[in-house]
Amino acid sequence: MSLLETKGLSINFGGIWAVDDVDFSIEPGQVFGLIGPNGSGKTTFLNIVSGIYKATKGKVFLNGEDITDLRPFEVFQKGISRTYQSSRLCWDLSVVDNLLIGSYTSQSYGFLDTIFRRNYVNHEIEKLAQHGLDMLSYFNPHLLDKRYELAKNIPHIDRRRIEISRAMVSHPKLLLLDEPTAGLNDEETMTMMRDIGKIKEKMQDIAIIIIEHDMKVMEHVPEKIIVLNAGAKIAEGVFDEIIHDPEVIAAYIGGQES
Amino acid sequence: MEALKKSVHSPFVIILLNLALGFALYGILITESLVSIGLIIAFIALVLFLERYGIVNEVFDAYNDNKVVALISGLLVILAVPVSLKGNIYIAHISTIAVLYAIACLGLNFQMGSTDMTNFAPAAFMGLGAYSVGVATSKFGLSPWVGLLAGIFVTGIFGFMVGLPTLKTKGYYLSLVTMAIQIAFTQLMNTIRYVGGSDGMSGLTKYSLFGYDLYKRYTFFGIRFAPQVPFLIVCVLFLIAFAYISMRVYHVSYGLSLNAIAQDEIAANCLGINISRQKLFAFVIGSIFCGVAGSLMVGLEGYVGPKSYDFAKSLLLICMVILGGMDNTIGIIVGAVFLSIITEKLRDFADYQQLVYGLLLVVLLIVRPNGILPRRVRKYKNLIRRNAGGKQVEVSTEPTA
Ligand SMILES: Nc1ncnc2c1ncn2[C@@H]1O[C@H](COP(=O)(O)OP(=O)(O)OP(=O)(O)O)[C@@H](O)[C@H]1O
Ligand SMILES: [Mg+2]
Repeated sequence: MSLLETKGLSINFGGIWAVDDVDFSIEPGQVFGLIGPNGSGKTTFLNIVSGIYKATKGKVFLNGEDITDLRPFEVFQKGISRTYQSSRLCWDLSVVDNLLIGSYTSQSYGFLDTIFRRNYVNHEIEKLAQHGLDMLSYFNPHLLDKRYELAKNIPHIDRRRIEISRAMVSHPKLLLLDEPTAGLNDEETMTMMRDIGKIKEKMQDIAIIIIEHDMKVMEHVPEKIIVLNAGAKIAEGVFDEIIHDPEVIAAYIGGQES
Repeated sequence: MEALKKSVHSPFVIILLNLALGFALYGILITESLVSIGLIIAFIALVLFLERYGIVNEVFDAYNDNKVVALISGLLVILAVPVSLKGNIYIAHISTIAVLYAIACLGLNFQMGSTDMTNFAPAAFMGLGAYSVGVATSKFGLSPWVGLLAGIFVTGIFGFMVGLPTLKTKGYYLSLVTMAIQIAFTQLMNTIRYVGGSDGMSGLTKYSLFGYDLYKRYTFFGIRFAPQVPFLIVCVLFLIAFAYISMRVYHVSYGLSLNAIAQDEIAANCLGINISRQKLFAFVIGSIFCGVAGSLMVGLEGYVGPKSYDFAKSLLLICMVILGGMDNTIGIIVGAVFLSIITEKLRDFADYQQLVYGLLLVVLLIVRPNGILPRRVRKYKNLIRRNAGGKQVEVSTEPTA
């Protein structure tokens, strides 16, 4: 039984199959890359898995449990956490508050506790804030000094780190990273690759799906690569197999021409 | 300025500050309308000036550091204001209105300030609370306190029901839905005979506490108080309780999740926040606050009618929240108190009332687009810095709200 498995996953947007009959499975601890030309359905695939879009056809299973029809917050509670192609931090909240939102589901006190057990609740929150900051400083210790700055005032690469930390503080089983290096320069891309490697050091059992355009990242980070084209899975395998696959080459050349 | 910043942290300065604030409030209350408006403008100008140099934030931190001193001296000062009012019933009346509006505004803030859901119907919820007391006392002969409790249930349930359609609508559409609810409420109350139609219900039983009449003239320590002072004190106690609840909700995951929803609903949803449940929470708790404020409002004149809770009143409450500072409990109380006093004091200007009022609002929002006291960043205590090896490097202690 796989950690995540999709069977015939498909979605139709006004007559176009943005994701078309995709079978996919990943085991705990594996890191997969998801590539494909622009508009091939990579982000849409993640959006279906995380519950934002409803699949038109097909099923999503997590540890054998059907999660196809769960709402996003329920999917998160099952252990799937994600980042976005263009950052979705809460821009007007501080760095530490953004991290705390990541541990929202770990906060177990009730409404009456917040009012009558002030010290206990504050202590719980402080523990989680600390946990979030520890996670963030694992990537960049200097960000600790900026913990009370608003997310919108943080440099781009650090925003990515906050977003990844925010997704990790809940200790998910599966982490979905949608183009973590989008908008980064070459040097920052290398740093980000190292950071993603660090995730694995910290949480051995976590499975990661990375969407990425940068072939340098794809060559080194994932164990296996899945290629989407026009919503359909056209290839699956290790990096060297993929880059020599004629269908993949054709898809990328075709994608560039259009 | 640096020396000033340091000095505000001493408990002695906090007591002085509380005294000064008490005097300012007292001055604004007892002076003639023109002088008092001048005082308000001067006070706001002073706050703006000090904010330039970061002193307002410093003062907030200082209050947080010296919570006990600030609370006790603040309470004494607040209680001293009605004491010094002596026989002035008019001022006791204004103060009570200001306090009750502040409670309603704190309720409205859960929706508008925290969650960015515009609600044009807070007055309707105040009205529901007020009518609950009206019906309970005049139709069933019950105590107004029972009416207040019933009001909590009624407003809670209606808050939930109004919250339901708003789960599907946002932005302008949500505004329209709540406007429709406000107008429907006024129309309904105007037509329902049982609750007095457009005349409303008057001569209602007012509040009493443990057999004590809250509207009698009491003499303490040789001072004869205005008849309304005991009721004012009860209302202030309610405000303190609700302000505390507001601050707690803001500081914990409830408030934070509401902020997250306001900022990015999809991200919030994908981080395990049940958007619908949290939005309903904001509507229910906010409506209950408004309802309690309305229920207490009946205790002022023993009257409830549709005109007291119309669309204009909702707009006034919205102005108070925006002007005071969205999602800042103290700011909202300041906004509510200021606007209540200004509205009352401007009565002397008769025809020019609306004009001066509008002008004041525009000017204030130009110099302070985020309100008098904008949202503050949440601070957490005892955050430790660890280096890569997990060893503790530096301990920072910061005040917690
Ligand atoms: N909500 C939507 N409504 C209609 N069409 C959509 C929607 N979301 C995505 N699509 C379409 O689905 C297709 C796949 O889009 P998707 O964003 O998944 O591509 P992608 O592989 O992530 O591309 P990129 O590399 O540019 O991020 C595109 O043609 C897009 O226009
Ligand atoms: Mg994409």
